Amino acid sequence: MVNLDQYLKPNQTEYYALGLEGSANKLGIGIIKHNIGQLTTLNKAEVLSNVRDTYITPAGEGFLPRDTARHHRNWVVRLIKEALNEAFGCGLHDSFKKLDCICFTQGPGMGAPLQSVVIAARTLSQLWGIPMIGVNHCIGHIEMGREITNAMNPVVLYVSGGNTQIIAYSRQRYRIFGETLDIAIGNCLDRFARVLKISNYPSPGYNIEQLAKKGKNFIELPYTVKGMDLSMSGILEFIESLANDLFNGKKNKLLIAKNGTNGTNEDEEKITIEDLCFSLQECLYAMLVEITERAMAHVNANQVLIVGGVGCNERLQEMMKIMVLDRNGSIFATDERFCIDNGIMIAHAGLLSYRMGDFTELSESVCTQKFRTDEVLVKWRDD
Amino acid sequence: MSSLPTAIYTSPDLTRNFHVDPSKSHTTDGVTTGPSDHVLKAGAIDKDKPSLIPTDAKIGLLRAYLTTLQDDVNLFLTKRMAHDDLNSIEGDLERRILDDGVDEDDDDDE
Amino acid sequence: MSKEGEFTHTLEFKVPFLNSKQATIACKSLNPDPILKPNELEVSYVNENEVLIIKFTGSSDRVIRVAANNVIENLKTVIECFEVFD
Repeated sequence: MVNLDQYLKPNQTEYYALGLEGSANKLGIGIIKHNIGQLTTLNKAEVLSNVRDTYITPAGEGFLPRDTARHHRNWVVRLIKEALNEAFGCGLHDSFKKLDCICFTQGPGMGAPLQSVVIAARTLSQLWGIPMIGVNHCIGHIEMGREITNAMNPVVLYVSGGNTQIIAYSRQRYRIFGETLDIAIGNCLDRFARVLKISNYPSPGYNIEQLAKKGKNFIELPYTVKGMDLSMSGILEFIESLANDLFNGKKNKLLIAKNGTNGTNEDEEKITIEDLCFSLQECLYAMLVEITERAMAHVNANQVLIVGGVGCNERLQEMMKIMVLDRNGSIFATDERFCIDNGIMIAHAGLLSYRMGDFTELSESVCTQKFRTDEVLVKWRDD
Repeated sequence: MSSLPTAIYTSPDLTRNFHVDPSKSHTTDGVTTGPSDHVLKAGAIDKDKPSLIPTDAKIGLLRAYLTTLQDDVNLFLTKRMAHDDLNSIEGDLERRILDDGVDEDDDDDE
Repeated sequence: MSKEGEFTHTLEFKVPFLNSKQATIACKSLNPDPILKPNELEVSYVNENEVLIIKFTGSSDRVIRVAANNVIENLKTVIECFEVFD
């Protein structure tokens, strides 16, 4: 077992880390505490604060890097202050003295928003005289998911607006077994929400999910699993054109659901927006379930952990559960505090790196839009 | 703070000094650093304005002075650019540089 | 228009901080990020005592405006950290 306390300072009995996340439209700040020793079910990481503010655009609009960066830089200091107050009480001028390190998302993500946040990390690191730790966003999701759910060695389905990956741990790497060949699943859902011009609050995916619950008719969409990978841009294009036909009142035989037994016109029912949302979710999630099942078989695992913003989706969790229980396995997921982008996961994963003696020098703290999950050497595990 | 932020611009045809006047009022909410026209046109309401400067900040009003200076420089340069090139590709270039070549569709998060 | 690589335009900011420690921190916080168009623009960050000097040298008003605006935006985050935490 890896010794997580090799760099323990004299008289130190616990560690505290501040985490800053801003790789997409959420700005998240969290403070975590680890007691010395291994993290176990009896010695859990402790969330001292976990605050977040989301940049929301008008219905029909995506978020541009420039406006998202503006949101982050205008809120980052206020949110750090709030997180410190929540974790340590009001004596701001002393509270930071407890912190061992400042962790920040170094990538992957959108360039300008990432950069707007690392500036605060660099400043505070120098002001407070504590090191910085650059964290891979995906590793943050995985480690926080494991810590919250106690899933020891799961196959990880990482589904968000920017990423869709099926991951399994092996020899100190989180290895990617399958992934999207084009757009991420959350991006596919977000873009469809824009076509429908539905609200981006609290998130477009959440609103699609609510509409999908009212859908009754399933329309067959392209099903594009390719080995361990999947493709979603064709599905999006297909359903976008269906939605446009529906809005424009254009005739399309796919937009008629036949419910009746004799196929007469009276039994015809028009496909609705709700039906489209329902069909899109069913199709996409079925693909995710298929590649997850294949990965489980491949690495002989019986645990599945779902992380990332789309992981909040109850229908995805439900469909995955049916498959996993069928294989006598167990499924783990977290609620929106942890599956939606947050600062605490960056604090947690960064603190694991810190405890293994890894720091990020100022000169190496440049953020990067591309940063693959399997680039990170997982020093804190050796199983 | 005894001194104020300044800027100097030079080009082959012009030199220009920028100063802030501390007797005027200055805010952190600049006129050239608001939300993009794109989201404003779509009906965005700006809920993400910069914070006010705490009254007990030892560093004083530096951030507000700098915001004024930034506005002055931005407006000056924008005017020169428009003058330079009527068919300006400013928007395009600015987006390319600021947004770092990323189409938001590639990376926006759930 | 200038030829590429010919830097004819400059913009220099002088920003006074409370002390040299703050100016040094600001300098080191801005310095790591690379310039996105090095063939059209150079940026230098120097601190002289409590004053941070940022100099942009570029081939057009356009590149200077974009780079300077972004750097000043970042600098304002640094200053806000000082307002609250120093």
